[in-house]
Amino acid sequence: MKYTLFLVAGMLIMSACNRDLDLKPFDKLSPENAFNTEKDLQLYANSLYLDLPDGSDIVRGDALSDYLVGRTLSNYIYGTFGPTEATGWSWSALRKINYFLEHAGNAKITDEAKEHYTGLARFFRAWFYFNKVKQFGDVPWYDKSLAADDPDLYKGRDPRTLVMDNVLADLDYACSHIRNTKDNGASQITRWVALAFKSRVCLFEGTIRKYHPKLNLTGTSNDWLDKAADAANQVIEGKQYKLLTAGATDQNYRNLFINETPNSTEVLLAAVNNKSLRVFNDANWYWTSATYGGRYSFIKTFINTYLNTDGTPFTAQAGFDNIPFAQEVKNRDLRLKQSIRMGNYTRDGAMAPPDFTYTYTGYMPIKLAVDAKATDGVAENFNSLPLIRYAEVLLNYAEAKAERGNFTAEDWNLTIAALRQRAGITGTSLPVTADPYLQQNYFPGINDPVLLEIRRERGIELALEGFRYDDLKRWHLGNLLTMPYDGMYVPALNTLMDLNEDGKMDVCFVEKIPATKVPGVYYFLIDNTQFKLSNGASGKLQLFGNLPRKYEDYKYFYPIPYNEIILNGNLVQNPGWTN
Amino acid sequence: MKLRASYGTLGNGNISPYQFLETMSVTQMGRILNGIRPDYTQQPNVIPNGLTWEKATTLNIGTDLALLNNRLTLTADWYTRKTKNMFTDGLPLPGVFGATEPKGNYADLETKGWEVSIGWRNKTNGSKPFSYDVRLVLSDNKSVITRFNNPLGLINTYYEGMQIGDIWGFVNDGYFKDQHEIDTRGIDQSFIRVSAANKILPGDIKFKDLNNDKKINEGAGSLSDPGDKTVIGNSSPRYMYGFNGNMDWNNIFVSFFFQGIGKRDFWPGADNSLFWGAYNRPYSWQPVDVMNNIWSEENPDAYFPRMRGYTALNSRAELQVTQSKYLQNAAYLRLKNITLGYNLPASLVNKAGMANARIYVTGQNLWTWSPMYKYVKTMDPEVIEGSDPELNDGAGNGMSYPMLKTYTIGINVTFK
Repeated sequence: MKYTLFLVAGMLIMSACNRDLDLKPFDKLSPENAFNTEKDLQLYANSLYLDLPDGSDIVRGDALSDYLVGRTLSNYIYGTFGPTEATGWSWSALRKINYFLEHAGNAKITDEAKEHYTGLARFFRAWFYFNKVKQFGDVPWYDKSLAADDPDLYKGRDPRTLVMDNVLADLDYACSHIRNTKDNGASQITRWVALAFKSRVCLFEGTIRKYHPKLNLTGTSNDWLDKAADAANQVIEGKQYKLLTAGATDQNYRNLFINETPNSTEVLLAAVNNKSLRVFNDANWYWTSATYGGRYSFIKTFINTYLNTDGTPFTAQAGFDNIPFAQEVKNRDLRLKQSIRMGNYTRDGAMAPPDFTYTYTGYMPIKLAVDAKATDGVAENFNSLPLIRYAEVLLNYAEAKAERGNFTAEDWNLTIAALRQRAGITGTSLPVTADPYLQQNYFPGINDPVLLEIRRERGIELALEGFRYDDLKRWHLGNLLTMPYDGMYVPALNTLMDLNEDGKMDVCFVEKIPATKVPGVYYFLIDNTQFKLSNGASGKLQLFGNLPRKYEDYKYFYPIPYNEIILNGNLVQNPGWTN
Repeated sequence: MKLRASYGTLGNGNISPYQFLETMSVTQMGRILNGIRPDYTQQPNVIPNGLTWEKATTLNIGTDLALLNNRLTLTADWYTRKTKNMFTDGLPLPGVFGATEPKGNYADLETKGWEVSIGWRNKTNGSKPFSYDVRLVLSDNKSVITRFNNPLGLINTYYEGMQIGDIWGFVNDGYFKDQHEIDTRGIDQSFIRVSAANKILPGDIKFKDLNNDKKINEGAGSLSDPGDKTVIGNSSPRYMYGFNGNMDWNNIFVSFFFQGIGKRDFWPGADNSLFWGAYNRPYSWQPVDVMNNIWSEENPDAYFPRMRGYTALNSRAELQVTQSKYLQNAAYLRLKNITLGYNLPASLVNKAGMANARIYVTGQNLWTWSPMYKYVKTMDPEVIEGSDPELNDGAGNGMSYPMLKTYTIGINVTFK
């Protein structure tokens, strides 16, 4: 009895010891209890979404593009830029994904659920690597979370083919295992999202291999283009999405960008913003403030590509560069009035012509910002912005097929004609002659009239949504970033101009600011250094001609940050970049 | 006279808990998923492979001395402390690691220091004695890294032989005088930028080409190839001293306390508008000392170079790179406290029913001197780094709430 007592007492003391000395924090999870149920996997998988762009990222997506000019020029094309300034060599998102893939298998759930979450993680890994490859070209491939002493930390880059084949394998797995339900909130990754993204990735890869012979991969281009068309076609055939055509012809397009709830008729995936949950973007501040925003405006060369309402090119008429703003914007593709301030555009009930305290060219974007002025000076916009929408899928499909040479009249009606009809264009028959304006200004060497129109359409439909620089890269047209910056036509100096025909004068171009000003008129100083007119005293605005821009061929691949080259001697810098 | 010596080893308990566990915190997302902002968790911190105690072994030799009838006292100590297996950041790993490098027992550190304290007290004889005492305290220490796994010899982390606080930087070589000098100098300084277009003009800073490769840059950022950088100073405070005294005569008493640092280098650094003024952000404060000391053709020897906005802020800009000329000598001497008072005579006090009563005036931080004041007087050398975490967290160096000057007048009464 005595001994039993001692024994019991001893056991109590010892177990108490164990518990006291081996405590785990109550407010945190550990890997043993974070991957057991489907709820656990969902909790972790939520974190993967943090690596998608948010609303404010989307707003800035086209800051480096050929069709915008702003307050400052990117140092990538003007001034000094080198490996020491380089950023983007961040890999924590990949560790997060690989760690999940290593642990999700332990969960005690159905295979179907396991595959769904594995597919989700592999989708995000494809997203991650696609961005890395777009930016740097060859990158090292890792499908495990690395230990601090893993020799693979110090390996060199893997070839593009290996990485992109793995990306494709991830996407194929995602497309066949992520649950096949449509998300009407457009916030989650579904099979449809994965397919649409696959068409984006494959089109990029197919065209970059075709137009960059230096990669030595031209022979594999068709394969990727076929895959792009096939993935897009699956989304089209799935009939879960269609172009938003329910409302007024002059509002349908912009309604995709300015509403709090993403319109899941057309939008597959969006950066969702919401007023009551206080998740915001800064679109209005960015697109209206002269100091916070970049003061980005479209250049005239690009605005000229918007067709007339009857489907004929605006640039087919003589003297298209000598038409005053108020006249030239009339009878154009209805996406123009949904993309820039013009005509009877109003804000809070008042007419709102282009504001020259913001714009340099006259073509002031409104596409992603809302008309109410309340958020002009604060990051509290709650309009949701699309990341993937059906129009892009149609454009991917059209371009992949046209590049492949098997584009049909039926395809035309399904894609480009449908987009144009939504934009109020009446003449939408298959083009038979190549547009010389596009060939001269944008796509020399492209003679296929259909392909030219597809590229025109992509530029206009997806303007400001963050596609442009990637498109220029894959088309081998980075040099377009150095095209002259031009603005609206100025008939004469020292003449008041009314840009929206509301009877109030808006702007006056002068070589010297007059002592007495007309109230409400902005006096734009033509200093003949930064700002010129093409004929001296009249003509198109010409901007920043004094600042020479350069886009050499090596800039298609961004430099690896200098520090990383030092840390890992096996990592070789992209050719052309020196410190 | 007394001699002392001690030797011992201690562990360091001042390390945050759960460093040995993989933990995953749960947080609410900033992104909307399916109509809500759900919680999420993600991969745990990478934990070190095996941890052990950080051990500090200290050898201390000292003496206490009292001479001249206890009027002169002296205490002196000399110590050396070897910290083994210091718990600290690991060697920087390539970015593909994708996580913060695990901490571990990676370094050894050796600190050598000494402390001296000398006091003198005395009292005159007579009916109204004058008594006084003064004390000077002086101390110093210096720490050197004796072990750290850094095979590349990178200078942005610990390396063997590094003295804690060392500041690496470029060395200034005056200003470009004129266009002719810019055209003919033959040293490519484009690594350090003066503006977006990076066109050097007269009044911009010249840097010394220490390794004679006709290029100013950071090399490989390592000990074997530091480019044109060298150790230009040390940010550790050295020769900390204090001097206090008390005097008492005929119920009148005075006490004072001076305090300061004998040597310390300070790089004004990031977003320090109080030091750089318009060089930091052109719309920011314009300290008078800066405005009166800007290079111009009429004032070619000014302390600050040609006026250019953002050059003290943007990465790799002319004043943003650490450099010898603008390294500040942040030594200082400060009158922390002075008190003057009077004890009312006991006879008077007792009549009023009090045990004792005194009136006094005290001032704190009344006077400060620092070599740094030659260029700017906007910063307090005692609280020179960072910014106040409560008021303006992360607002940049020099933005701490300064020490206040205070005056106190007091009456102190004790009743029977």
